[in-house]
Amino acid sequence: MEMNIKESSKGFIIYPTGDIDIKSSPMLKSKVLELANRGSVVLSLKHVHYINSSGLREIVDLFKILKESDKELRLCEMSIDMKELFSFTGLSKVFKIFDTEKDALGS
Amino acid sequence: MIDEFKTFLFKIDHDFKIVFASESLSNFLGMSDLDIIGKSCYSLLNQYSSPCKFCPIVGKNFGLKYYYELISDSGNYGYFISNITKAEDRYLISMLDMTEMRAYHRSNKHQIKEQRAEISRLRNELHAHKRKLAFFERSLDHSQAGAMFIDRDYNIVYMNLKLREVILYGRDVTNSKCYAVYGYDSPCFFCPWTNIGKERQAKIIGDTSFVIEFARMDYYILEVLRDVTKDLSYVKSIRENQLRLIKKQRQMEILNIDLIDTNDKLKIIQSAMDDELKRVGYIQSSLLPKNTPEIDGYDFGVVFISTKYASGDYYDFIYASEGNLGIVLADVSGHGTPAAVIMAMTRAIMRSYTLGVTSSSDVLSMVNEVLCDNIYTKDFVTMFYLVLDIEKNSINYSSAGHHPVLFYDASEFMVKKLNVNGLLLGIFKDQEYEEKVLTLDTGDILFLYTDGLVEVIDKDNKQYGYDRLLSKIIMYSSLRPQAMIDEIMQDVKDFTNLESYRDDITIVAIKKG
Repeated sequence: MEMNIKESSKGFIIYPTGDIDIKSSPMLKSKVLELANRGSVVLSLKHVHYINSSGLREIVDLFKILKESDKELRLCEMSIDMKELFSFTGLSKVFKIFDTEKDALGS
Repeated sequence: MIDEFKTFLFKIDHDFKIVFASESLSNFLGMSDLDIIGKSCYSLLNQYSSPCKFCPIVGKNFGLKYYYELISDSGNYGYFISNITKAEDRYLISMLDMTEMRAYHRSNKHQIKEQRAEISRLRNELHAHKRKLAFFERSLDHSQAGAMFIDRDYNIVYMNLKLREVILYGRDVTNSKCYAVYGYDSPCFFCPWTNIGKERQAKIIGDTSFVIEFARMDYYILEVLRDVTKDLSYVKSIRENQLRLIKKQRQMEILNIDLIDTNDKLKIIQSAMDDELKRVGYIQSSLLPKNTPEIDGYDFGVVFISTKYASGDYYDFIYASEGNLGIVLADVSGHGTPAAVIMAMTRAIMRSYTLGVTSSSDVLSMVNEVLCDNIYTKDFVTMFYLVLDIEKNSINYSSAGHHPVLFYDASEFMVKKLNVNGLLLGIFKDQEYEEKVLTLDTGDILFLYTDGLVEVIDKDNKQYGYDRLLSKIIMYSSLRPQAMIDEIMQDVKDFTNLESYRDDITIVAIKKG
């Protein structure tokens, strides 16, 4: 998995590319936690094809860790399949999910 | 006494008349004094009729010496050097006989000529030698090696530029003995004058390493000093590299031994873990239903494939009450023992909390509470739970993050998703779960599966996928559920063409007869 990061005045946007799974998630996790200490973090999933249950496990864990220090992880640019995944897992009610980067950074 | 010398003496007057003649003159002329006295000198000696042209008396230049030859009437010959001195009105003429002297002188002159020729030849030869020598010296000066000639007395006869100005830079060895070049006070221990047959010697001068090559001749030794510092440093670096390599190799060997050792240990641990997982797997299998329920009007099919002995999948058939059959399919995130433990825990919770509860959403809420208190890892559980009312032929169903169950609607010949949302179990407490109701008609099929099924990959990493599954369900919808599952699993096997699956696969299918 590759990972690009864009910094804006309103926070950081991380663009993971490829699949989020057990191999790629530790890198993503440490990056998110590092940036979360410096500002708000948005995870753009527009280049992510697929998240399996182990990838989901890591994202949920990330959410839990951030929540302990009153931080949040915003998600945006999800595919229809991914929206469905977040919907039936109930995670769409846990995470703040936005359609666009702009919306995610703006709120 | 005068006569005994080969010298003639005679006196003449102002009229060139001889007034006295030594006996030696009269002897030479073969005349008596009487014949001589009164005669003029030029007629008697030279048969001239007037004074000689060169006569100093005529020219008044006394003091000059004259050479001349005389031949007497009697046949005597002489070569003389004459001198005239004036005494009052007389002139004394002395004539020194140089005949023998001249003969000697003549022969000497020849020798001198020859000698001069010889000298000139030698001089030419010398010049040639000097030129040759200069050439050799120049050549030697251009040499990259130092060179010097040493004589028998250890004197440096010649030293080339390289040796003089580069090797011995700053050191004055002029007028020194050769051994001074090598820093000794007396002849070197390796001197070829004393070590006959000595051809080569290694020597360090300052920071520079040299190989000295000797060419011993009769009177001289040519010594050539070749700077081998660079060559030696190459040799040294090659040697050092080799040493380093050998050292690395040794380290690698040790590492390798370590690795083999570690690997062996890991194998032991692995096999212990495998054994443990196998045991956990056995226990887990024993927790799963041995048989499918036997209910009139319903047919069941099940497949359970675990990849690593211990699985995170769980299915169960639990009677909630008389006429209400709870059917659960759950998937613990993660694998191995922790997943199996959570699975066993989930089963225990299900078995103890479902009794008497016929609302699927109520069950999930309760199970979530208990799991939240008992999961200490970052794992969670997805679960689809439905309660079948056997009398009414209806189900109520809820999902905790499990992907939608597929419903084959026989009347429409199509597969629908039973979309129902709810948070994954074991993450956050106080969750409410959505619950829906569905009536079953003849031929309808409920197809519950864990995501290991659609996530099966082939060798190109392509997923089996949801669409292919749908088409197979429709294709085999007329079969009994177990047969349908077997067909689907055969298709999955054909698709992947790999020896094992990445994830556990569980399918529970219920068909309304």
